[in-house]
Amino acid sequence: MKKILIIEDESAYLKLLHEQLTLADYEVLDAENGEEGLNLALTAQPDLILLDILLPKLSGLEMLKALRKNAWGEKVLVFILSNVNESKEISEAMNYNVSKYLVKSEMKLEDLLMSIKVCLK
Amino acid sequence: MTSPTAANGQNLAKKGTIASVKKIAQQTFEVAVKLSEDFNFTPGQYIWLMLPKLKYPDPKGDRRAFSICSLPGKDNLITLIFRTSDSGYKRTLLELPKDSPVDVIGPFGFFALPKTNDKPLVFIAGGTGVTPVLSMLDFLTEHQSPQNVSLLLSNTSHERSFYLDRLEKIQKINRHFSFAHKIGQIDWDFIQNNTASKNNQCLWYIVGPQQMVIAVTKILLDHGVAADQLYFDQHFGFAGDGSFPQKAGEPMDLEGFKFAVDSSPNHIVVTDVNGVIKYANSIAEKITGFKVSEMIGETPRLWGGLMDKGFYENLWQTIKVKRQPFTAEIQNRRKSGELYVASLQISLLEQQGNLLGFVATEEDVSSRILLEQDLNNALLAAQNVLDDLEIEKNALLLANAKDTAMLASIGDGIVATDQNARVIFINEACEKLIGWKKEEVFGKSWIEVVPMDDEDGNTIPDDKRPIMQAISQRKTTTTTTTYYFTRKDKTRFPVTVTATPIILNGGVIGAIGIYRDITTEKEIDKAKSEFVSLASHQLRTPLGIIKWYLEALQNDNYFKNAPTDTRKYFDEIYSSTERVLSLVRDLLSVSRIDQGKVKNVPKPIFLTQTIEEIIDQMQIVARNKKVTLRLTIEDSVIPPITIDILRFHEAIENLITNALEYSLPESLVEVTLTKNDDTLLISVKDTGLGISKADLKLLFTKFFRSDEAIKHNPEGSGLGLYVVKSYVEGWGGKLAVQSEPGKGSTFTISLPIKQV
Repeated sequence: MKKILIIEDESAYLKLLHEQLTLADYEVLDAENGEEGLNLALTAQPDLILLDILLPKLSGLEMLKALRKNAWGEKVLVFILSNVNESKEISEAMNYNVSKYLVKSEMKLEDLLMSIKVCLK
Repeated sequence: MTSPTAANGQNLAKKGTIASVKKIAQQTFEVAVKLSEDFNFTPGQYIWLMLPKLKYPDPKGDRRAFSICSLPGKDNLITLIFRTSDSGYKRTLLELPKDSPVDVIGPFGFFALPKTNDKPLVFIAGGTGVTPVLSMLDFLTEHQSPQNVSLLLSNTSHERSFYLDRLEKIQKINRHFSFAHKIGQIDWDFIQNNTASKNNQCLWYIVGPQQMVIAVTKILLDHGVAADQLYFDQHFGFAGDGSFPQKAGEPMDLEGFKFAVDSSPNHIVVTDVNGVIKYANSIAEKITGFKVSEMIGETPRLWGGLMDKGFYENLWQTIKVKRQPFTAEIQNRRKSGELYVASLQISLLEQQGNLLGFVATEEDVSSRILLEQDLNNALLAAQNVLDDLEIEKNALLLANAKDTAMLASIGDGIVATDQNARVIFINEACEKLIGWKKEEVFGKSWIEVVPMDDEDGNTIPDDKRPIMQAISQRKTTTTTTTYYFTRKDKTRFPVTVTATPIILNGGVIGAIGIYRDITTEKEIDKAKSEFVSLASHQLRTPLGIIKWYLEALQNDNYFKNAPTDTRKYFDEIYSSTERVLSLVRDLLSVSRIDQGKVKNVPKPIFLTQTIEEIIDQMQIVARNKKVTLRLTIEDSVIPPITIDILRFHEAIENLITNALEYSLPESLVEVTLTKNDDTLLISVKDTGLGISKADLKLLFTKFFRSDEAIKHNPEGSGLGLYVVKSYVEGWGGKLAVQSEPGKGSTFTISLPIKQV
């Protein structure tokens, strides 16, 4: 069973994604801030990380930067899943080899689930 | 008329002592002098009072003339009245203790009352000339004379003189006396209005300063008063500026005198006591035109005699009777018949107290008088010019003061420069703005004093500075993008600039720059945009959550089994959520544009491919609208372009969404991609509603929506085209529109191929 880590501080999002991904037969791990997310990622070593940008303690991009310094973390699949839709953040994230930059409010839940499915096949 | 007493004696000086000194009015004193011997005088005469030693120096000497104010026969006591002054003589006199010795010379003056009292008397007195009249009046009053007496008094100052009080007193006692007072010159009207008797039956006495006496005498003669009814005397007054002519009895050096006469540049004539010419010098020949030989044995009447009778009477009275020198301006006639005006001076030729004759000198002043007139005219003209200039100057000063005050009060910074952009004026607001004082910047290049750069800190080249453009291109510039000035202390501030050329006679002589610090405006704008940005971001999260939860619900089995109406309601909620999200997206874009935060993150993209993708995505919407959406690529080779793909998507999507929105069912929306030499053209054409001319002007304005558009679709934000235009211009491109109401619109984006 593929393992997905969701790092998301907005509990409504977290809850919905957790349920939907569980329904889609993934093992789902939750983290509510960047720091917790980083620790959990390094210990649980998921197959995919869904990473928000605006996060308490450690922002999504800072977490990503730290993650990529780790031997395992360097290669793990990361989707940025945020409501931040600024070129600056997008291009910065792209520098850290993210697979997708997704804007939550701009896409359908269905499309997200499809993207994840395609990626983890 | 009585004979003047003064003619009797040779030695006129008499010993006297100060009997009293009294202050009788403001600045007015009465001095009484007791004479040691009999002193006979008639009312109206005057004396010279000589002080043995001056305590205070006085350039005018130790003697002054005073009218005798008291009446004759009072135990040889005479009183003199005078006003105080700063003169050394008067100060000395007032400080003299009782019984101090003084010398009294006189009495003088042929001014005396007539022996008969059958004719009314008219006294015309100017200023202090009233004093001899006063003693005559006192005399008449005391003797209860029935003689009618009028006094016409003129004064130059408004100050009420002490003698007015005395005159009023006399008037109360003497019913035959009346007087009139006038400030200023005496004229015929005044004389006529204040003399009851017929002019010819009166005797006239005129006394006062020389000019007044001359003027009044002339008026009377002109109005038919006979010369023998007229008595006049120039009054020395108690101001006493005439110095005593010559001390009696001093020996004369005749040899030296003759030498002086011969070598004198003046006309000099010597006569005996009867005026018979004994000698004349060569200058006299020149002025009169008569040879010395012709003159000798004659009297000066040879070339004179043109003045009125009174003049000569006065002349002879003065030199022969009073034994005083005579000075006057006189009109004479040369041998040629030509009239001339001369300044005449007659001195007494005395030896051992014996009168030998007279020395007369004449100075031809005709030319001087003409010159004086010319000079006066010139002065008058100059004065007029000066007055005009003064008025002009004051007007200019006032205008200048107004201008200065206005410029100083203007809140915007103002700088005026010459044609080399050197500062010639700077107002206070501008000094404060840039931190430089006017003295520091005058004459310096404005461009060098105040560096100007753009938002990113790039220095604006000199020739692109608004003030230079005003000078070199006569262009009035008002900046729309934000520029920054650097102050003296190196701090920067945002500024708006308006630069205008100063044009004089068709040439540019400089420029005027108007500057406003827009720091506050920028801050407010920034705060506003940041608020919008923050609010939008915050709105997005809950909206996104609603959106996904709705979606999750719609996919649920429960929902799939729900009644159709319920499912429709959910669809409505979903689409409304999408609309709010879209609005928030536009607001965010606008706030980014307004904050200048549209950070291009350009990447090379293949336009053909990108546009194909966008059109593919939008086909669903087009199908729902029953509109055909078609892409035409007119050029086979479209070069890759470097551009921010996110913004590019947004721009193209916006145009296509609009085209679809305002298209009618079964119509066509055509997207065309083509290229010129150096430009890529992307056009979106519809055959829909179209836009009116008036609306076209406002089409790209933030939040603008045409009435037609609102009617058709009440939900738009009015931000889409503003966003597209801002993006396109940010890429160095242009957004153009062609439209006709009812026929459709074509929006065309043109982009330079070499994208940065």
